[in-house]
Amino acid sequence: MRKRILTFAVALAMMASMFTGCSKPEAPVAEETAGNAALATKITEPVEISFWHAMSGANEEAMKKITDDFMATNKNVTVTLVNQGKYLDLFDKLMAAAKAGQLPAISQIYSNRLSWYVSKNLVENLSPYMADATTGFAQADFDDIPKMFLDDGIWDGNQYAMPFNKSQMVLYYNEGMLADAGVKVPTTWEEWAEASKKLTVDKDKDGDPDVYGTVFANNLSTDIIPWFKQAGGTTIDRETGELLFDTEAAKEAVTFLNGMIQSKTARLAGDDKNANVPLQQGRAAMCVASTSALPNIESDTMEGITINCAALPSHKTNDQLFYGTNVTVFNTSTDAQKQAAWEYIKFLTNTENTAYFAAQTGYIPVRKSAQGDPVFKAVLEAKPMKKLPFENMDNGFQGERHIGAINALDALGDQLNLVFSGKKDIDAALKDAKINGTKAMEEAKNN
Amino acid sequence: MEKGFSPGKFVSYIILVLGAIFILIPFAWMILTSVKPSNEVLLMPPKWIPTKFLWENYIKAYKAAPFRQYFFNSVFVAACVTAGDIITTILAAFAFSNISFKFKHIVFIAMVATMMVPSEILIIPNYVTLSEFGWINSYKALILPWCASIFSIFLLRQQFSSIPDAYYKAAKVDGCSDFRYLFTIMVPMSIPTLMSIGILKLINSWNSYMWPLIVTNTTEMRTLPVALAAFSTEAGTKYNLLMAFSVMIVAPILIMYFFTQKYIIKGVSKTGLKG
Repeated sequence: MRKRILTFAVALAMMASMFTGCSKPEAPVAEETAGNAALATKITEPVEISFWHAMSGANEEAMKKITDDFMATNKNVTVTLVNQGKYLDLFDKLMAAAKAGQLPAISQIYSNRLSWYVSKNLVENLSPYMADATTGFAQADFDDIPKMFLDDGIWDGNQYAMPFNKSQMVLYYNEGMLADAGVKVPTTWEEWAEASKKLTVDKDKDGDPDVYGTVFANNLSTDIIPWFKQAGGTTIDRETGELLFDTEAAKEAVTFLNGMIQSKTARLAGDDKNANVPLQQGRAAMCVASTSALPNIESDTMEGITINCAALPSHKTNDQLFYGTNVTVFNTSTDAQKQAAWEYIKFLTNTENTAYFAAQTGYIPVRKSAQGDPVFKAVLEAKPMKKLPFENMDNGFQGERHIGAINALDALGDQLNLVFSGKKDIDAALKDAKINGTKAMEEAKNN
Repeated sequence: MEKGFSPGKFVSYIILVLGAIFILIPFAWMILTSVKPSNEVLLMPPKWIPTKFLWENYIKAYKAAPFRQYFFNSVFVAACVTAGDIITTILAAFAFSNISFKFKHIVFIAMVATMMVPSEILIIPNYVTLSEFGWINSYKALILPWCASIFSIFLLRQQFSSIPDAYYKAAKVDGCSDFRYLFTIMVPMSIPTLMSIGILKLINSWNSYMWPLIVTNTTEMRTLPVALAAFSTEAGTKYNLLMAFSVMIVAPILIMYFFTQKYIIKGVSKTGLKG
């Protein structure tokens, strides 16, 4: 008898440890909804909604303040902010929650991740909410949000996401170093390569520069696109989804970047992790990084170094990359929750709040009118660098968002690393990037 | 009789000192970084001693998350997981080493084979399972899935198998039950191995990041490592605050090491494990 009990205990232990067995292989696909005919525009009963995000520090504090303000004026709505770690943690958790049918009402998400959720019909179409006469948008609101930000949340003519924390890829530079070397802030690729060469310093002539002209981020996979576009190409065809990794434009862009790296006038961030770190310490004269790095640059730059920023130097075109997440509403919530979620997002992104969020963080406002907001106006006067994104919005664009685009661009990034480390020639690398990327994209589509 | 100086002894001390330095450098870097101003953290060449010791980094790090709640959760979860794992391990290892049942070896091999599956792959299916149980955001989700470990069972089964069968037979002749034999003979003879299993489990549970983050949604349920994410953004990491928080997380484990090192050394020498 006791042997049986022990054997039963073993079986229990095995079951507990082999928990993985009982799982659903497929994501639950929400039922097709017949549009959003009946909106619960008036919230009369208490409603609770969760907002999953990956903001920490000052970013999270700013979100908390805006959320508290919203709840103070919308007594029936309780918004619970749930920090889900870093971006990748958040996206992993969203995927798990989608498979388990446990998605939150609202989440922060990149469009290149949201594509999958839209394709599985898990995302609420916000267009009817925006068009609603009572709680929707006026034409002035549509005009106020830069088109590229709105477009980033549109699939098949429907708005599935609203812009939230946006930033621009810029060229930061050490003002003192440029002045000492008599170098102007570069505005073209040629000027940039020349400036980078002049600003590189190898005091002991050991072939390992003490100061590099330019430092780039470690992984140029999703971030390679501005150079492809400026050379007249792009990474992925928007219509067909074909990978355009091995075009003449792609080759020209990679040849330009690789030229600077092989001549040791530029490098990747390496152990510095972030490209702005060596700039802040006087070990680089310029770097390419996001405007969201501004708070770190302000607090961590060594004394005596003044940093400014400019738009990325242009080439055949002057395309400027903007990035950052959007906020989306999942359609797995109740009608009242979805209405509350829309009203919260509308509040979060109104002029006053987007200006406040941008003032407190390194992000940029998602409305042009924020420039006239008293809080943000004061910030613009104190920090002229914050004006730059407004000057570039007309020629700004956001990255690719096809399902599997991240996987395909990662495959490109792997090949670029081989090129930059001198282990592979450009033609072969771009050809392999296309083959590997297409395969990775197909696999992602089948998930 | 004490031996005097010998070249062999001298060389061994040199090697030991070098080993100690190698192991202590990361700890020293962690502690010194925890009190540095942020602009001195990533200097190249590294600046070991900060120009100014910023002890307030600890206060900032402490305030960045509800430390007391997270600390309680970490202690509670780690203690329950360790106790649960030891109980299931003892029972399962005894069954696999001393009890005959059908397909014993096949079942054991099948269980050991699951160790080859990377844990990352299992996160989503496990989340779905717990979600169906309604356990998301509860202590059950944090504790129960980790209360059994194939690795621990494998380890203890090897230890139990090394105990001569004659003890079992003699105990049986004297009318001793399986349970009594297990808990009065085998377990006391396997304390070092059980200590190793317990310590490894405790450290794993204490350091666990992804699982507590995935299965919880409120600060009331989260554990200390989850708070580490608060110091990193896409634009960079506040290494000084991160290290201050890490010191606070590592300290209890270090204290535990000091008190249990006798058992750890025994366990390591017996099982060939390295911490």
